[in-house]
Amino acid sequence: MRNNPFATNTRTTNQLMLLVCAGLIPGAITQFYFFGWGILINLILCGVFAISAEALVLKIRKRSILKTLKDNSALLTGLLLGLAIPPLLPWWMSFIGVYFAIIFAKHLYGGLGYNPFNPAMIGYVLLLISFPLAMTNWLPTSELLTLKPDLMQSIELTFFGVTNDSLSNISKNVTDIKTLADGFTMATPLDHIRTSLTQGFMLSEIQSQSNENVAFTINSNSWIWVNIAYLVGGIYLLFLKIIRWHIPVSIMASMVVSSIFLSMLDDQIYLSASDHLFYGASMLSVFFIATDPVSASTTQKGRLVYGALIGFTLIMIRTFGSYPDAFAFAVILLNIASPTIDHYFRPKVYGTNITGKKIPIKIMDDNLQKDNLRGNDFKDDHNE
Amino acid sequence: MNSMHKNTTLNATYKFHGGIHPTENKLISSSSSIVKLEPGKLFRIQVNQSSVQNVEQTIDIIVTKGQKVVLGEVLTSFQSSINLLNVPVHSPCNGTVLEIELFSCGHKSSLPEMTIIIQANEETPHETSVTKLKNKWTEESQKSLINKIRNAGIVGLGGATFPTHVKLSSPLSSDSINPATLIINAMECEPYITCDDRLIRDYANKIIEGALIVSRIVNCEKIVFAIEDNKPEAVLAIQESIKQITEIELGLSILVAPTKYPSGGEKQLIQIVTGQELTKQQLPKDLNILVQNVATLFAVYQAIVLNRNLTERLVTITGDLVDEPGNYWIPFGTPFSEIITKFNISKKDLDFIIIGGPLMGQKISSFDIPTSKKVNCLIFNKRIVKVEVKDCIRCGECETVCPIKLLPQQLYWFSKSEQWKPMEQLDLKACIECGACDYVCPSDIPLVDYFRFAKSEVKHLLFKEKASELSKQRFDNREKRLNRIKLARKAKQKKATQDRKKASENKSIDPDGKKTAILDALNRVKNKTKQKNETNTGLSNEE
Repeated sequence: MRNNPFATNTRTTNQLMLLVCAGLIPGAITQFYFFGWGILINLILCGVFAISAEALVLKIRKRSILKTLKDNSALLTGLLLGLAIPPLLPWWMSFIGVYFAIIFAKHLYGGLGYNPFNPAMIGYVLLLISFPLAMTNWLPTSELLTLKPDLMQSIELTFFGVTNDSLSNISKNVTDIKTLADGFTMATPLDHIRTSLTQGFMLSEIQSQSNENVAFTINSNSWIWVNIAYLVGGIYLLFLKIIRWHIPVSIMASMVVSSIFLSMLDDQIYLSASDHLFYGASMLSVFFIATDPVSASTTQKGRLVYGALIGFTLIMIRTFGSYPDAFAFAVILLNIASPTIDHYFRPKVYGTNITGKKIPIKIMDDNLQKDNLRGNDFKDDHNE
Repeated sequence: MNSMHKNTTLNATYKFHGGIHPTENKLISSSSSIVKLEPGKLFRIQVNQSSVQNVEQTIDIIVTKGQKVVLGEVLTSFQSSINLLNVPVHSPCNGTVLEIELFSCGHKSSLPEMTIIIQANEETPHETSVTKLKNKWTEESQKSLINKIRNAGIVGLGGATFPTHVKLSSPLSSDSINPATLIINAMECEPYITCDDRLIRDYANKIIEGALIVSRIVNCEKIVFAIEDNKPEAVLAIQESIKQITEIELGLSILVAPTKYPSGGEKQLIQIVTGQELTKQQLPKDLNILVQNVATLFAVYQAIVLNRNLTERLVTITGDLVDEPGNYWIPFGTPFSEIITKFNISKKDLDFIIIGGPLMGQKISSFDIPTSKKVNCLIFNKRIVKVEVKDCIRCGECETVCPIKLLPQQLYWFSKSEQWKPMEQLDLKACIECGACDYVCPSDIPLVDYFRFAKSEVKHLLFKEKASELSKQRFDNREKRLNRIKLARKAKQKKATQDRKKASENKSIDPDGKKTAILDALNRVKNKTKQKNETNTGLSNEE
């Protein structure tokens, strides 16, 4: 039987994880709106794979399956990976990614709380390196598709790679679906800009081309909306104090500072800060992936440093590396560094500060009625 | 009359790091007024009720088995002992000493303590031993006031039970940065407890008078009455009573701080009032500060003005098993079992009683234990559902709430792997065991338990280190000494051989020693004549 304290906050790890999953909802709905059924299939597939993988490992490790599954951490890993991979990805790729994430990145290190890396990002990076083509070819916004796959067709495409076009009655595979009416495939904005840059175009040229290209504008706008939706979800998490402001704010600040510095050097080659923030998986990663407490730094100062370094690394890889969206790499690299960061950025223990900050408080007035002053019992702000 | 200007309510405080806002549950007991509990028949008085340990041997029990005692009569003495720390205890009733025995009183070490059992007489008339005449304390010397406080058995009644006279024995100095300040601790930040709140509402004048006595003893320039903003009635009562005081030339102010646990901790309170942190070596008096709890000040008032010894205190009886929760005057020594019967608490729902608040309180499952000076609150709650301890997810909430700015999560990590050295480097010793980290932990890890254990281990480790350091020093010293002796012996031997050599050399020149004998004789004669001449000249000089 434990000793004092006998009072405890009611919010548990299980609830925390579930609330983070809830925070994903606006982003997931927006993605579903723009990219169709494939998103939903990915979410369900990855979620189921994650839970089954966790159950399997727990069985092998002879741990209580239900008790551990209740913490919802596996579900969250699955959902994050499901949102990060492109829609209509073959089911077995999702399977490999999720199983690798849960078994290798999580349980081989000891399970929840012991994994040095973010499992979802390890799964993502494995897939990205193993299947670069499938992983980088995002589905264009549904609006632009000649064939908008419905639920059944999406399932067929995910599981068998082909579906029957009900109009022309010709079987089509995933590449056919991704090909637009003009015969081109549509990359994500970051991909597109990167490819054009390597072809020797200036940013202003790409910009003017894009303005003429209606399809590109529609596609990049959809990405901006997705990022805004994740931003909303992230602010909800901040508001509930599930995540703290340190990591998201420092990542975004460092992204802005780094990209402004680069575009001051040459604004024709280096992308602007707003492009970096609102294209790709930026907001999803800033609020939901980098803030994973297990693999991130834990001290408050450390978190600022951790976030700042992620932002910087991200911009560097995006600008000079070969991956257009490198959030997974930036996060994993800093996961390695977080124990060291924790070691060097500790808070100053009580007894070192000489003078404190004054905070104003409400003035007690003699004339106030006693009854007005004493309301209900003050409740913990966490519980509401 | 400028008292309105003089006695202001401060409207800004300093902030301390972290802190939590647990569900207060104070209305359960604060809404009913104070009641005097009908005293029982049997009292068990612990001989040592202060926080000072290892003084039991130095306490003289001056009553014997079968002796009759009256209410407030002193049961132990300290006069003959050298120990300056212990305080006497007094009889809570008129009665007879039944037994003096060892009894396990729920000390955390679970060691039995010396107790005196007193059987009350049929009728215990109250306030007989109390002089109705008010004492003129302003004319008394500080030393006699301190003595009276000690004789009355007063210890810190906020729950820490540190002997008050020790705190008062060192007068405060005053400088421009830190004026000598008495901080009255009325924060009462723990959930459930309301005894200080009710005490202030009913006895504000007396508490202020007690504060004036204490401020006279330690030469205070300023008195700050610090209280949380969840006790508005108490604030009003104190404001009223301060308005009545006109003749005292003291800066007396009320500081209403935002409600946050653990603002009632001494270090946190000093931080709230002055913004200053105490370094590891410092005590409050190094910042010219004295912190006293309101209940202690009330006891001081009773001891000095009414000549009444400390035999009872206000106790909050609360919890969901209590029919009439509230604040009660309960004499020390009343067994918990008697309180359980008086309040009709169903024993089958009761696993344990919490002494003190739910965050820093102590769990008691043996109900024969008596109340003592540290018992400010008794919580009788239904059996709680067992929480499930999960793995740490390093969320860092514990760091956010730690008032000492420690890293509970890393400390936990190290204590789990039994790495005591890094824990010491992370300043584990500074932990005040407030339980805030434990409270917010989403994985329900009993962090405070880990830290308490680690503290003892670190202590043990440091002790061992010190011991090994000492023995190493001893060894080194011994080595040095042995070496020195060895060298000295060698030198002696060398000298002896040289002497022998010399002697043998001399021998070779002068085989039977005749020559030396002649030389010696000649020298002697020479010296004698020389001496003679000297005495002669001395005489002539005199002439």
